[in-house]
Amino acid sequence: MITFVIRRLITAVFLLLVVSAITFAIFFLIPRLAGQNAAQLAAEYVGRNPTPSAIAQMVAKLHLNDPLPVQYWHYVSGIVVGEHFDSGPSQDYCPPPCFGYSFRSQLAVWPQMVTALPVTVSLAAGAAVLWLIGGVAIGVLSALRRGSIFDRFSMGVALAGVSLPIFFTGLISLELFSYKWPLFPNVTYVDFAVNPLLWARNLVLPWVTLAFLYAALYARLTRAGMLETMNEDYIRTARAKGLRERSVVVKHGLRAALTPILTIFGMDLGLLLGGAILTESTFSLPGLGQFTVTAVQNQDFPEIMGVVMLAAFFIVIANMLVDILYAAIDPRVRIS
Amino acid sequence: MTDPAPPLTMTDAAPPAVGPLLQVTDLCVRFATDDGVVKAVDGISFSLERGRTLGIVGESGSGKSVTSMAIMGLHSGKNTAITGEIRLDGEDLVSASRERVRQLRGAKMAMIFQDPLTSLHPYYSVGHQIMEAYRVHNKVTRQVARKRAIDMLGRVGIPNPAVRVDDYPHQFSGGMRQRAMIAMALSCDPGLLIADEPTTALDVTVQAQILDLIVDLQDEFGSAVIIITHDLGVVAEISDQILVMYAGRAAEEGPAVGVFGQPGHPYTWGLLSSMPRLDADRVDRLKPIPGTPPSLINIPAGCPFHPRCGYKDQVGGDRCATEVPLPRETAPSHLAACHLTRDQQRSIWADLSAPVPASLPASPAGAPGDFPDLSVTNPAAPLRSDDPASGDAEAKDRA
Repeated sequence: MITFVIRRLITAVFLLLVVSAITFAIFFLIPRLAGQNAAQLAAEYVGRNPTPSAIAQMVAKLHLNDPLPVQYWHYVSGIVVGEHFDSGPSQDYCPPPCFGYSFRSQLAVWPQMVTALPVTVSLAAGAAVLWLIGGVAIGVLSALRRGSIFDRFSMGVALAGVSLPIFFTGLISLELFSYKWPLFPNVTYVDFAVNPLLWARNLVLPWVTLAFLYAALYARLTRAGMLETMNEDYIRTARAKGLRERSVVVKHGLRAALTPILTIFGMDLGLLLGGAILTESTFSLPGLGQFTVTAVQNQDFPEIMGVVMLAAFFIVIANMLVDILYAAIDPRVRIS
Repeated sequence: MTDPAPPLTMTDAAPPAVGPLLQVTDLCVRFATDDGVVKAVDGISFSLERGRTLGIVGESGSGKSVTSMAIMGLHSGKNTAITGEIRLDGEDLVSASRERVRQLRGAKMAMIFQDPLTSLHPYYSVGHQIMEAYRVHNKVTRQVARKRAIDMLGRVGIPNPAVRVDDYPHQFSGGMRQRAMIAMALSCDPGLLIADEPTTALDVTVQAQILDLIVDLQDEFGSAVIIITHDLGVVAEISDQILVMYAGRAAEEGPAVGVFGQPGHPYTWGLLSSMPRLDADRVDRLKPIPGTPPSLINIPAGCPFHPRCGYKDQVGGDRCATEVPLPRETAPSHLAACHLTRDQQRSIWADLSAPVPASLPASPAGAPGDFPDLSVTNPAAPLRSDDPASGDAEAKDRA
């Protein structure tokens, strides 16, 4: 089991290296291939009215005259151990993980992401709890009452949930529950440490909106999985033993049906932690998703690269956790 | 065809002071499907004493498994209609509540299944699954249940049970899995054990071991056993009584010696003739029963076997196609549901079971890939559909 975890960790690091190499190549290799030289590259990074001295300073600061592998090395080592920037008169130290400085605001990228992260985590974690419980429960009940009115109704709603985009359901819920009937007025992010009650109240609408989409998906997945496992021979054995129907369904049926759902849950959660762009935009939550959108709009390459790396980190970690959990759940996966 | 065949009874003797452990009377199981009502079991009756073994034999779809699932109460409610009586120790299971049947399941009646790999839950250890079965019906601590599981695994011949108890099903071999299933089934010491094709998925060498084990444990626990199979060798070996089922009905039933020694129903003859015989010449082909089992939605009128029966010409008139044959004694406590007279049955079987002359020429009819044509290979072949050409065409269509 320990070797299994170590192997997965090594793979995870390797994967992150690949992601960093690709993002780095997109921003630094491809422009070169398209014929841009170091000065032209630096000019885009300086500002609206680039003076030759400012460009030269930027070229030196970003090591743009170095060979590409060396530049990449600077980038990676900056993330791991931090980096000293020589910006002419002064030396700036950017502590690890160093993703450089925003071209627009000149602020370090990492602290900005650290500020945005709790918003995204609050949103994603709360919604995940809601959709996992709701989706699985509805899926199980639908499967057990296949063909019933409950089944048809919930699967109809689920189809709507999968089909409707967040910016539609989100705006509808804002209109109804924030403006028309102000149950949740002024949806803005309040930090948990400042006021937990307000934190929760203001997140209810985003949670429900986001969870609705995923719960619909999970209900359909759970239903399909349960229909399959409840026909397995071992379910018949469990009944033949005289187990109560509840044990048969939960311990024997759901346990097996849940495994594929867990895989998808890990990936979905990892993806969302990198920024729930639509939900955050709809509800104006200053999370990583908003951060990403702003960074892209501003063509702020260090910020984009930073957020890509962070999102990749979450996805890789989530997948690794799923793999480890999988081994814990399914004894056949364990490497003995 | 709406009225079920009248009940068969296994013995005409006066019932013993203590009734049989299991008494099934006029059991009918019907499933409502989109295509119509499936009469999976249509008026089956039998009884079984403690310590005895009943073998239920028949092709796929003859209703043997449905019967056993009905006894266990494992048919799901909505589209299934069960009528008749199933008395276990005097208590009727058909009219009992689902909860009551659940309490009896595993405690007083237990079942083992065909494929022991898929029948065990892959995520739980073998010991856990046995403990679970034991603890549903016995209020004991985990430690006691675990001891019981280890004890049971030892009794079914798992080596080193105290260690293997924590293994998962995928770490067991096929034979060991079936042993574990038997250990689970017997953990609560049930009076009735139903084995539904317990050896079909196993190696031939392991099959014999599992059968021996069932017989040994039956002696040890004194349980009644129902063994369901299409393998006549299996039932011949361990059964006291045989019930041959066809299209959801009893074709023939009686003591094992009688059913194998002096079978009275053409379907039983067909089953026995389709087994390899050591005294037959190697070039002699096996004689399968022509045609396919009937649809259980449209069971043929009269005798359900008549479209496939080669002897209906010997019954006067059109009786086979119009009149449901009632079970009649061919020997004491040995019943066959066939219109042939007892003398006809005896003489035909005598011909069939005579040693085959060893010097028949190799048949030219059986080109590879051809559907075996029974009527040509052996001039004495008794079973032919009334129109062999159409019978073959039908069989090919369905193949």
